[in-house]
Amino acid sequence: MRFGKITGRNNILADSGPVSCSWRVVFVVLLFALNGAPYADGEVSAACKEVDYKIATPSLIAIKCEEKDVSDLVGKGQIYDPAVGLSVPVANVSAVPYPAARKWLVLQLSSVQAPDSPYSLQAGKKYKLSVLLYEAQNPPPADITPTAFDLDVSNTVVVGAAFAVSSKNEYEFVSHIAYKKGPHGICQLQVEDFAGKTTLLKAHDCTVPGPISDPTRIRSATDLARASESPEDIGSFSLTLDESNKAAQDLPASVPSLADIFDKPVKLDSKSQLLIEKAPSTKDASNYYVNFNYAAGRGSKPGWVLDAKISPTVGRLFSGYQFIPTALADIGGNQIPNLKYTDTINMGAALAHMYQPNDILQGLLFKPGFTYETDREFDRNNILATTDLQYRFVNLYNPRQRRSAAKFATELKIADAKKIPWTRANSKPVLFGYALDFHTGVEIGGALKDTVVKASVGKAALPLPTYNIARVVPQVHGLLEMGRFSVDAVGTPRYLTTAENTVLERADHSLFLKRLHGWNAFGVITGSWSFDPAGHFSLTLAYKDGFAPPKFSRVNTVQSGITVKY
Amino acid sequence: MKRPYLWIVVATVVLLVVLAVVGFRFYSFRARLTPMSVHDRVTNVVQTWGRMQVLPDDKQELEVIWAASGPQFEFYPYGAQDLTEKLHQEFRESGKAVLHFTDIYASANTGGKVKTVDDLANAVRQNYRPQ
Repeated sequence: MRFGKITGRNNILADSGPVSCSWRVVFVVLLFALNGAPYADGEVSAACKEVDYKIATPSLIAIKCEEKDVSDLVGKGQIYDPAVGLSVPVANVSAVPYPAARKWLVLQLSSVQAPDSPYSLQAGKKYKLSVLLYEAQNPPPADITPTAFDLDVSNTVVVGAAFAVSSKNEYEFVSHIAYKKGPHGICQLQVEDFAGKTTLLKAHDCTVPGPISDPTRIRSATDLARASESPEDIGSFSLTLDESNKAAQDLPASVPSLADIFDKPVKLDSKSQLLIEKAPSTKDASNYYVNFNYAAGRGSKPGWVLDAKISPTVGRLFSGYQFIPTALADIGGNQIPNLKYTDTINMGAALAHMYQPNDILQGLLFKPGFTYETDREFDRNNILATTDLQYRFVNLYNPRQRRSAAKFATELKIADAKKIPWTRANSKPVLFGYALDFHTGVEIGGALKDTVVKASVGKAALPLPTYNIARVVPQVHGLLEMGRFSVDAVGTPRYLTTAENTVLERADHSLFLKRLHGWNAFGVITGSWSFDPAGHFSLTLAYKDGFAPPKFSRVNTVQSGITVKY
Repeated sequence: MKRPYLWIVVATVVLLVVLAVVGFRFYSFRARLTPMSVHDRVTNVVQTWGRMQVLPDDKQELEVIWAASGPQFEFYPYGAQDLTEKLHQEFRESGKAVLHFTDIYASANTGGKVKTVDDLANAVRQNYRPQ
């Protein structure tokens, strides 16, 4: 059903061509002449395609339009009672914009006999509306056609779970009729099982955000906007159950002391269910990466390698900063002489905030934190204060996912213009994607205490004295995607400004102490082929080369395995 | 420091505090003078966040808006966090957080339920508790 105006190119009569236009005009004129009253079940351009309505008072109705902005529309019309007949209107209707909501109109009903007296809708009845809408700043066009609209004044309430998953056990009771009063704070919800047995569930945070306590005092759209800035709040009641409703088959029956503007207790839709809300799963909100590999090198027996990362987002944003505990491991067994995994375990936490400096540098991720750096043998104990800055320049972040979504947005505009239904399922994903970002960071700290490092085979042992750490860590990260295949490369030329101690193992399993300073670069190139379209599971081949802390032993290895990313 | 100077310093500090409080109150008061529905305030925030030239449509997906015109970094978590932060700024008079960024649906966060502009406006309205 639509309310509408007919203007310019959107004019259906005009769009239909001169011949059909004249036929329609004749038809409309005949219809008016035969009925004597202008109730027309016709269609017009979408000046206001109705998507929702709220009966705020017996003589004031708020209508939500699909259009983005109807705040310039006004109109006139009639309301009919089908029980009486569609030839004689029971009341006049005047339409004005809802003062605080650009998608809403307010329809005010007045008596046909006494235009200054309001007309009241009767509870339980159904009505039909017919309204002519036009732009307030222009006179109403002569060829405007009214649109029919059905209004149900029964107070059936639909129960739905709150939208945000973080709002656990929160439900909204939505009605087309405004609530006059309702419980506030602590309340009870009556539920009923299939045998008709009723139970009271305790609830809190019960609220009617837009109550119409005294409908007689709401006489105009301005009064209504003052009573409820958000028209969606009219006929809304929400509560949070103290405990999750364990019996999903229980149906909500009533809320004691919740009444509508007709002073009738509300009845809940028998099809409504208290769907059990899932708590925010840490996994869903997290960042997980597990890569299990076999490592192989020339003349060596393959060994296993686990390259894993866990960095869930914990808690809420604090001034735009998010707390992220992080655990990273690149460890393994059956170590291969000269060809090794990095043997690194990092545990720590960071705060992260993405700034948006300007149109060239569109993102600057500031990530201060701390890290405990060790190895699988836990014979290193480095504590580091870290700071990482990630630079995201314009046109350098275009992975397939983003490019596909952008392509869909363009297609959607064209489809909307041509009135073609279009969803993301209709849009073919793009083939190529890429990303390139740069980092600069510092790692400052030290080895906590002297430790003794043992050889992986034999009884050789060597003390590792404490040392200070001050590293400058630039990094370049690139990603290239082609369909389900991708190549990801990370280069980290780490510069040690102070000498660091490490104990290294020779091929004969003897140990020696080495002092390191200057550049110690480390690079990883990973090729992946994902099994699923979302890229959660993939087959990977990774080449690692260079020196990674805390051991800084030479790594030159190829690893293949399965990667799981969430 | 001589006593008169001390009084001047104290008076200046008190004056600055009073002006800051009054300024903040007046700012909040002005914001309240122009009534606007939660839905309209949310669409205004989304328009700014997504760097859109026109107001977003209710059915538009947030992730698609970001990809089409948003800054060039990840929608989730950073774009979602930015949107949440902007909403918290807009609805700072709310006693309850209007949204948690993990509520926002993304290809990288399929557990989120807030997918479109309309979902977002509803979620914010349901959590908005003006103080």
